[in-house]
Amino acid sequence: MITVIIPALNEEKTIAAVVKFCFQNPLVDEVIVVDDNSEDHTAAFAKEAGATVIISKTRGKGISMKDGIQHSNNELIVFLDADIDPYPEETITHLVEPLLLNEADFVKGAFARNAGRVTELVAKPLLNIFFPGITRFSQPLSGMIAGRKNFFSRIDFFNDYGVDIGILLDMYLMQARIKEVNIGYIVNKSKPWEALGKMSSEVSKAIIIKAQSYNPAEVTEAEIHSIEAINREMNKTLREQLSGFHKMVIFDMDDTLWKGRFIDKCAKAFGFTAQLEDLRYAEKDSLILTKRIAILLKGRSIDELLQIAGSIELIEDAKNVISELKKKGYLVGIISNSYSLITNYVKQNTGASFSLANTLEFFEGKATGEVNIPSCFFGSPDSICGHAYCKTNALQFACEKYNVQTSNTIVVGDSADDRCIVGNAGKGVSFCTKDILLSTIAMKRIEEHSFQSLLSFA
Amino acid sequence: MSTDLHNILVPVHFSSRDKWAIAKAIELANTFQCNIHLVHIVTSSSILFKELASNFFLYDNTADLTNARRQLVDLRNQYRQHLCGKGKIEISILKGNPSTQLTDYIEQFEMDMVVMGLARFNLFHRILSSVTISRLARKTVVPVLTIRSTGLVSHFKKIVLPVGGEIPLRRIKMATMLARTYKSTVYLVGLRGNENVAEQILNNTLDVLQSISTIPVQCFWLEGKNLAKSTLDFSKRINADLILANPLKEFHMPGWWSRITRKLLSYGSSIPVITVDKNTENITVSGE
Repeated sequence: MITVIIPALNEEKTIAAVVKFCFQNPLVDEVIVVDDNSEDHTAAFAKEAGATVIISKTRGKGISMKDGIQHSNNELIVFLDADIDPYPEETITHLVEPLLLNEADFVKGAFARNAGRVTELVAKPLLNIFFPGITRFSQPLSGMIAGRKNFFSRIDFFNDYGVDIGILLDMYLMQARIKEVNIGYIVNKSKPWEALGKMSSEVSKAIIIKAQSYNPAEVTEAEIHSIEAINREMNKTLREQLSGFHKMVIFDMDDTLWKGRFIDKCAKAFGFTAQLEDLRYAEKDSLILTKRIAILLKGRSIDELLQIAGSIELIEDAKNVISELKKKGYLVGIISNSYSLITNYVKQNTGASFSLANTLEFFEGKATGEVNIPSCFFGSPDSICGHAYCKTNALQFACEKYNVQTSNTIVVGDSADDRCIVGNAGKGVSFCTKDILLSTIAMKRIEEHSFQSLLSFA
Repeated sequence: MSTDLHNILVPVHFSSRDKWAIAKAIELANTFQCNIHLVHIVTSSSILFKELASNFFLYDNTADLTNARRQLVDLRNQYRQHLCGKGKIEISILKGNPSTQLTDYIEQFEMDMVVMGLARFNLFHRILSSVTISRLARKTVVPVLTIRSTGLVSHFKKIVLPVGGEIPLRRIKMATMLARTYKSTVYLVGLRGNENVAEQILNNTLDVLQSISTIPVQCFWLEGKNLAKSTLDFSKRINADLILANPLKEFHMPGWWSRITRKLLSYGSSIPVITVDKNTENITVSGE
């Protein structure tokens, strides 16, 4: 018999239909939905449809898949996505047939659709360089897979977008028999363009890590140049696709979109306020300060951090004003010295289009204390301000990426850290600031907790 | 203010001073890869005179316009070969009040800078163009670069930024933009006088400059009572390439004759001067 595992996060609209679809196949006697702490009714609807529901301890697709495998009672396992409805009728049959006939140990499902941008621009060229043996797969990033439990249990799962390519590579390196089957036509939602960067990064990271562990000597300088060329092409494609924007509004997050600072709230909740103050007093280099503050968050889980984020109040009209700005044709983004986990949360809640921030590193859902600072925050010879580490560099990066002139940007900030980005924007706005120089630099000063006046300025 | 230059306007009168302005505009266009707009304005008074004349003497003013267009085309052909980047030379003839026409043109075609050649010894022209420079800088918020001689310098390595009664934000932005491109040093200068206030303003100006850029800056206190004159003397001493001024009285040259004839710093200087209006665009929204 077969176990179907469905990792799910906020999929209440489709989850019941997917579970029922699985049970229609007579070979399926167990459907496990691994709920990734959804904020909607995903878990309840899945249970109602007859699935065994496991609540994942930590967020991330890889961890959910691992949890599902540990709870499964059958040797043959199928993984399906929770957001596809309807599936072609014979999906499960097609996926498990090679396993039942003992022709394969791992089956990858491919379906009719336009080629994915990350697949074509990132995954396939990298696989060509490092793993030419598996370039035959038309959709190496597909998440519809089936395999034997004893093979799955020997795999280290990556998280998020790297998980599917990671499984394929592990199976290949374990010399499992792999087969790709066509399961028909699926209406697959395209990834939002702002997710493409994250997806590209995680997919390429997964491939390169596997290549290094498989044969470290193989990663030569020439190959690194090829990767840079791929990166350039990816940027070019994105720029071409996003060239419709001509003006942009950038918000700072802490004390601007939010009534409060994330790290201060964390300090209060986790009891490191005094250490934080000492650090701020003693460490004048902002880059090192960022690194040292991240250490204070070591061991904190994604959920704990998101809970704190959830407790911070947004400026009341932030969402409406962002929506109005978008109607006026502005691309709206967040550039912050905080963490992308949190800025993405604010981005979702406000309807902003993108966010640029530092990346807090997590291992098995818990902060490692390391922080990755995106290269866009670092200066280059073309840097407007010349600062080695500055939000203005990130603004310049966003302008180049989205094809917007710096003179057509509005930047809203509140603190001394924002002087440079506000001063170098087309129009700088200070928001409820206590920094006198920032309000001098800014073209417009907002002294009330409302962004409404931005609309007349934009 | 734009953080880069895309379009430069050069008002053309078909005199020798045009050549200095166009030559400087070409240098800028080659550095910033921007376009040059050569604009000739047929003034309202001359139109009126010629229309009256046409009633009595069968005067045909279309010949003047044709002649002006021909001269503009010649200028474009002459200078086009000096451009070595992506920039182009556009030509236009406008009719009416020069100040109004220039303002409209600047707004309509999004000019980022005006470059003007100044006559050396023509008093009437000096008064007229002083008014034009001040009005243009104030009305359009576009910087006006004035050139009084040909010169051989094709860069702005030493930029002098005099600081008066407030932080000159727009001039700071202009200075950082040019200094970034030409890898220049900015000399912040203030008049020694009421030192507490002046020192605070100079310090704050330095803070702002260092907050938004990493360009090298030097600060100097100047002796004297007139900021324009002291700045000019200092600039000559250090062999400066550019002075950034504003059109306010503090940048008028001293003496009753200079006051009457509204002699701007630009007229006393053989060093190019950029006149940028003070920060008129700041808006405060208080709790409503």
